[in-house]
Amino acid sequence: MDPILRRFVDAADEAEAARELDDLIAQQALPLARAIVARKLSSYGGGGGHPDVQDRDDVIGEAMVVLIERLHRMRQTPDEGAIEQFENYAAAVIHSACAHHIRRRHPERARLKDRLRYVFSTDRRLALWSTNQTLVCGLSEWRGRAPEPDAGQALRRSADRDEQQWASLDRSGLARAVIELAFASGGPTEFEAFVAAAAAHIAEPKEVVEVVPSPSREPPQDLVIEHRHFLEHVWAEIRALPVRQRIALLLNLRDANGAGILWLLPIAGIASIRQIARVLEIEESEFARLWLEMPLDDTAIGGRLGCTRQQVINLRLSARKRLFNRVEQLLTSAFERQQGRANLAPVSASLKGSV
Amino acid sequence: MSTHLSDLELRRFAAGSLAADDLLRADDHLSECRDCRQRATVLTGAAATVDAFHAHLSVPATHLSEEELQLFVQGRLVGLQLDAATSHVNDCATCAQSVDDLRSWSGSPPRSRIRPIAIAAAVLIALLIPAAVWLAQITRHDVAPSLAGFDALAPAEQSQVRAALDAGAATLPSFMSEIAASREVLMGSRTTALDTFALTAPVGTATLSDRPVFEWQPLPGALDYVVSIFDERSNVIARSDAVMQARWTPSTPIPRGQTYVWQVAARRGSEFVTAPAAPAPLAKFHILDAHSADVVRQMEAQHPGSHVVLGILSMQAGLRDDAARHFRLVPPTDQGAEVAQRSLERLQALEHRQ
Repeated sequence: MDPILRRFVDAADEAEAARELDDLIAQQALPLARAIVARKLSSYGGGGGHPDVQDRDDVIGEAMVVLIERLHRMRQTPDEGAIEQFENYAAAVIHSACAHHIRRRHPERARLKDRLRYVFSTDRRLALWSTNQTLVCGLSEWRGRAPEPDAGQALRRSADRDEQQWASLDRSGLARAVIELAFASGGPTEFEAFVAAAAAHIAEPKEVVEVVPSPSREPPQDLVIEHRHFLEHVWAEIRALPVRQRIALLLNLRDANGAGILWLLPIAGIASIRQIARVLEIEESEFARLWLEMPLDDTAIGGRLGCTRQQVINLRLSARKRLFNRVEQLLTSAFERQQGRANLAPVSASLKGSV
Repeated sequence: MSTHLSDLELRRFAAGSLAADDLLRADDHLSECRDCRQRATVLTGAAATVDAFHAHLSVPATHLSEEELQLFVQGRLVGLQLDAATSHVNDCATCAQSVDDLRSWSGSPPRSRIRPIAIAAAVLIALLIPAAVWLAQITRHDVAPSLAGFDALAPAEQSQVRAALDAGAATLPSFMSEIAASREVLMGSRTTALDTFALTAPVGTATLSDRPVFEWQPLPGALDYVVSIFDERSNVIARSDAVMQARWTPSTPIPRGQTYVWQVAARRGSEFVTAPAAPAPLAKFHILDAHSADVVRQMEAQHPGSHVVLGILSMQAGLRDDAARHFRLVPPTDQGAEVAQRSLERLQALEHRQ
């Protein structure tokens, strides 16, 4: 086990463990996450080469939840696959979160990036290598060299003049286009810069929907019943959580695109907005105003709760852990019930599969 | 009951764009009106949103990184990494779509679709195999080991080397279990064990060259030898003319990336003695695929002293002798000395089992 984790794992009680965890996250994981996410998302989202702040926070938050959950599990069962190098482990989790975010939010560009990486990795005329923790690409004879600023500028100029539809090229066509652009750049460039240049003409849809079946008509009745059953149980479990966990969970509730999804409860007839406000111990009119801003980011929630962003993440993780266990039991029983039916509802099935 | 809500109001309700007063008014109506709720369910795609609701309540999955996606599509993940990635891809529509797209575009074989049959098993695997076991062994992205030659490697190869360092020893490729342990019936004519001779190289290993040198022990009294190479379907891939020496090099390359069986027929007077003879195992070898061969060759040419990296790459490619040679040359003070030693022990254990 990485010695840096020892104080957290050996903490005498939960309060001490929480303090150690806060330190680990704040001093080790978050700086690493900020650096990686800023670099990975630097050519996506907001203008001026800066990633959209909310996107960045979402990715970091998602990675931190995974990390915290893993660290909690390691404290409970230290023998179960100890983390040998926390920094490496955290980096892997953060990269995973970045990759998934880009696939969901920028699918066309992610697709082109995968293809470019494939070509650079498999075509013997090309190469992909790392220097100073930066992924660099170019012709194979350039392997090992640092990215060259002049080459980066030449790359952008060439890409500006280029009118090819890179996303529609087949494997050999893309390889040819890549070699031509690499030649034109005259030296190694950062891989992210190469992708940005090649993807310059790609227009992403404004909203990218998670890959799930999208109903265009009234859902079947048995599906409605299943969903209602599921949501009723979840709502009952949420009401049983400590109020700070409820707030950390519900005020941040969002879908893959970052859009709020708390509206599902009143529309499904599970809980009205007034009832949700009471459960969150927020005055109804204030909650109605808050509704316009939802989902809130963790800093805003922390401001309401008088705690740090990290403590909000911890609160939500605690809520998720409890709900996850209970929801899993619920889905297992629902899945077993459905086994007897000939026409399984697809969304219910995917619900089970997505646990 | 108040007036029913319009479609626009229902959509704005879900979009969170109603002013506070209108929101509470709509909320009051919805809580009483089943018709409006049903209409809103259809208008807003609420059924699909239940999935998002559920996903938010779960601990997020650890998805495939860009590098892992490449390794997965190129068939270069093995063991636990492969199991975990396969399980995840069968469970995550977004990652699965990326895998399918890259596979269909690159011409790689499609992933097997096991969701309809084994969804419950996939869920179980996802729960039982801790993500950490996977993550502790997969790619290390940002912290490069200070091994000579490491930086010169492509990310995919860096990932392989990191995996070996994390695991404490390099692993052999999956085809090795087949070529190193086969005890099938000998093809061709049968002789008694005392009446045969041994094939020495290449046996139970991969070869860097696609024209490897075949060597065997001379058989006393033999006039000449004929070497035959078969593919896994017993098709003859190459056959030598009668050669006098106990070695032969094919004149044309043998296709890469495949496993082969070879045998030698020695002519002694009017009889032929074939080796290997049953019950000895078939003599199998594997010609390394072009990419892996290029990687090893480039590393050997540019960083001949990078014995840890070369040893790991060679072992993961199935080049047993080369791997052992490199590991033996690692100084005991080297950062990778322990990994080299444990890898060497694995290779030696394999020798002893054979």
